[in-house]
Amino acid sequence: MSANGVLPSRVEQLKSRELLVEERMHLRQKEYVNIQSFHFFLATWNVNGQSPSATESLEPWLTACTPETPTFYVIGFQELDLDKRAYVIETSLREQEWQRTLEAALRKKAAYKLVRVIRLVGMMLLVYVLEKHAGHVKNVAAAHVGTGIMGWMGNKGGVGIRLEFHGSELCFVSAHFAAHTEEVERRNEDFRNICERMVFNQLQFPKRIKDHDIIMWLGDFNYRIFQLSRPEVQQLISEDRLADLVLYDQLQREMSQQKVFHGFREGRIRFRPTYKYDVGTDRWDSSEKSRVPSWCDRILWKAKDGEEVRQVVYGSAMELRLSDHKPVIGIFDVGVKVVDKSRQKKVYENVLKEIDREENLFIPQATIDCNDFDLGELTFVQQVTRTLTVANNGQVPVVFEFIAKPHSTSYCQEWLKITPQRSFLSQGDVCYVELQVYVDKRTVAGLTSGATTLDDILVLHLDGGKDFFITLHGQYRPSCFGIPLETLAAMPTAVRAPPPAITEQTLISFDNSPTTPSTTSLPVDPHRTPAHIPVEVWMMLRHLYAVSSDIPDLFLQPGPPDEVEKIRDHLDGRLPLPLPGSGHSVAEALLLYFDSLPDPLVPYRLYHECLDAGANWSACRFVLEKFPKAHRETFKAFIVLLRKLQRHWDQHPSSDVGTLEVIADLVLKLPVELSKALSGMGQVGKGVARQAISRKKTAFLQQFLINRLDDEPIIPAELTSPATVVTTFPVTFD
Amino acid sequence: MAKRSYDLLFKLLLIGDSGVGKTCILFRFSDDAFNTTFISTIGIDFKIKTIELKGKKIKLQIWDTAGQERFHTITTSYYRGAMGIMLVYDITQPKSFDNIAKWLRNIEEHANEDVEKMLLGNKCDMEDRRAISRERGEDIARQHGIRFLETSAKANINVERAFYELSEAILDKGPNKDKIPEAQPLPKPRSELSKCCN
Ligand SMILES: Nc1nc2c(ncn2[C@@H]2O[C@H](COP(=O)(O)OP(=O)(O)OP(=O)(O)O)[C@@H](O)[C@H]2O)c(=O)[nH]1
Ligand SMILES: [Mg+2]
Repeated sequence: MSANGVLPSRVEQLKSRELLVEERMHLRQKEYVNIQSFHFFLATWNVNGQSPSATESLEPWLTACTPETPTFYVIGFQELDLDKRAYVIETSLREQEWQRTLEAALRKKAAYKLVRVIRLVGMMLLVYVLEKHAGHVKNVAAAHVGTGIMGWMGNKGGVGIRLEFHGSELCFVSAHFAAHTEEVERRNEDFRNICERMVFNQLQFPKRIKDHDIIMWLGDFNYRIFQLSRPEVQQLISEDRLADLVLYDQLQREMSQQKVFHGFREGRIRFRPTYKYDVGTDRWDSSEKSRVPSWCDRILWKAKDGEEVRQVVYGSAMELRLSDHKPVIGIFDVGVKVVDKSRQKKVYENVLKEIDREENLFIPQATIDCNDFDLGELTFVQQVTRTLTVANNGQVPVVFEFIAKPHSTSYCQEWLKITPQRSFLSQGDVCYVELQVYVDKRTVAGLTSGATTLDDILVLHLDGGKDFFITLHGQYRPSCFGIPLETLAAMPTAVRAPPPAITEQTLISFDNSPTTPSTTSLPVDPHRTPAHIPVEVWMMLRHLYAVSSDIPDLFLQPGPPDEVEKIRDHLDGRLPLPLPGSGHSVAEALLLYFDSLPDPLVPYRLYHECLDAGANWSACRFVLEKFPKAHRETFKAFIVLLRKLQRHWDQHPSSDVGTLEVIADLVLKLPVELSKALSGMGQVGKGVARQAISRKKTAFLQQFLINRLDDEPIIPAELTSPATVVTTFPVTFD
Repeated sequence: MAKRSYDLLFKLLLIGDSGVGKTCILFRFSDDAFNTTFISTIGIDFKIKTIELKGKKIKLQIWDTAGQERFHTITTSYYRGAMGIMLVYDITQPKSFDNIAKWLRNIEEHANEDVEKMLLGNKCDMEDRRAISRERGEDIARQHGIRFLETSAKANINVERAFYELSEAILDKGPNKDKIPEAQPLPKPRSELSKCCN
């Protein structure tokens, strides 16, 4: 199982903030550990399938070499069982025999605790720790890799145990590589195989051999002495020229060519080859195979930069004779990272702080150049534009969006338009957001009455980040547009005081206008407006009445841009006729005035009655009587204008396409609840209903065009200048 | 198995009159710094800070709100979802103290019912300009049954303690559906304001 464990991808690991903390702690380990040296005793023995001997004590092997008490014993065995059935049988009697014998010997030295044992067929690895240090051993895991028959069976291969002692991660691998002098490449292959396939995946984050601070290999690697004959080898040994003999050691040769155990170290070999002896003796193999003596059994180590590993002993135990191999011993002083709890706590807090700081840094950030916009003074159909600059000065991309405030369905008032309402900003980018303020027919009535004001607070939300509040405030300058008919008709003065130059002219005015009482305190209407009709409406009607016959498509075509604004100013000042701009624009202004009324020309409350009266002239007259005075008089005057237009349409039938329908729609405005009901209908139903309604509206207007009321106002046919008027009518005060 | 680094997420909120020092208190706690120039908060901002309490790592998401009166109708919509609220006044400004009742009403109306509250009398470094005695602060806190501390973001007095005590009070209330274990991804900090147009 261990060989094919799947490691989670690096990306997946990094997702975990927890791992980030762990990683940071690891990186800063130096800040909170002290290096403390511990004694490690390693030994490896190929026991050639033998049971422990009753007479031969293991003590000289395990305890003689070191006066100190090792903190760890790491013991590797090979060929515990030569019985071929051991390849497939899980339990081994030998395992228990050897373990018991080993522990009996250790007990004489001190109290040890078994950290872990792992066995694969004949290979067994045991790690013991002095009981008093057992509490510092953590995250122990074991794994095995078979490289034997068919490439995976356990007759050859390796077993490993990894552990953390204090703050150091250690890994021990006991291995048995392929035999025979000529199989060097197979042995190298076995090493690579074990390195690749051994995964300690019982851990939360699986580890491989290479992921450890200190790695130690021990075992029967089976590298031989080559290029020398047995007599030559024996000769060198007898002359104690081991250093010369080592030159013919396959392992050292392969390592120097970096073909195996790359980066590993081995102590100087000062002991005789450990293979092959006649069992029970210290004599070289006398069998007919007559093996060349070799250093099959070895101990090697590798430590990460900065780790302290010092080998104190590297030798063999000649006294043990039950096998054809001699055991090999390696004793090490290992510098272990011992955690200083209080320093670790400080670093830990620091790491948390650092991660918080980074997280705060990675919150989407942006700046805005203004959070309070003064829109100044503005009036009907006047556009004011402001620009808001949003800059991404953070570390991550930003999505910003204007969001709705509580209890409101929209992110801004009706008189405001924001573009873009939502946008994406990469790091360092800037976006210019346009804030367009425009008071139109939908909003003018509310602003006029004071029910609403030109104030708004926008909430600019950064996705995953903060919210900005942006305030806007302006003054609405009233205009006649949006003022109810009754109010406007009763207004003695212009909505806006006219510029001084014209005031004088207006003052040489007339008192006999029927609408204004001739008191000196009030300016007099120069337009001689009939009672209950707003002066401004009268001005537009008069203008249109005078010019209408020359203009095709009146009420159907809009005028050039900006003209409505000029007309507005002229009306608001009640300045002398003619109005500025084209007839189309004046017609547009008139419809706009009607459209902006809080209560339309035909009051909402009489809407249904008017529609029902359509076919019946006396019914129509009857409803009209119910109109408020200003509505009624204005309606009548408007009819007078329409009747004149109708005469024109009769001459030019082509220009009559739907004009009356358009006008009827504005004059007889659909009450809100009805238009809601309509929009709830299906497409076809809606169309049919609209057509029916439209027919009724037009019919109502038609009645007034066909029949004539007795008291219709007379609209002068000529556009006379105030100067002309002065000469026509007597001036009352001079 | 390694222990879990992050156990819980607490959402906290700072409220109180403009200028009492909410932003400074948060800045002191998160960055251990102080700034004397007053830049009134026009919006809502938050910071992250991890603390350890009773062996648990708690990630605090602390929201700083605009104190200016004209934003109150908006800021109250951010109360929902807060597990702890710090109501701050300025011991040198009687007006900010008088407004406590109003702020408490706001909490009552807009915050979760089980929200943990804490009253902070900030700027206690300015003894010479003190207008509200510590006793008055304690009294009003006692009346409303909420925790109380005098703090100074400037002199770093009781700021850390305030956050720890409030967090501890939340922790002590036991399991709560709002305490989000860190095993899930953090929810995006999101105001209660609804998006329009979607
Ligand atoms: N002496 C003293 N000054 C403080 C203290 N805390 C804040 N200040 C000052 O008080 C002023 C306002 O502080 P802020 O934290 O910006 O106030 P705020 O409550 O966030 O105000 P808004 O954002 O408008 O709601 C700043 O000038 C700070 O320097 C404190 O503990 N002692
Ligand atoms: Mg602030």
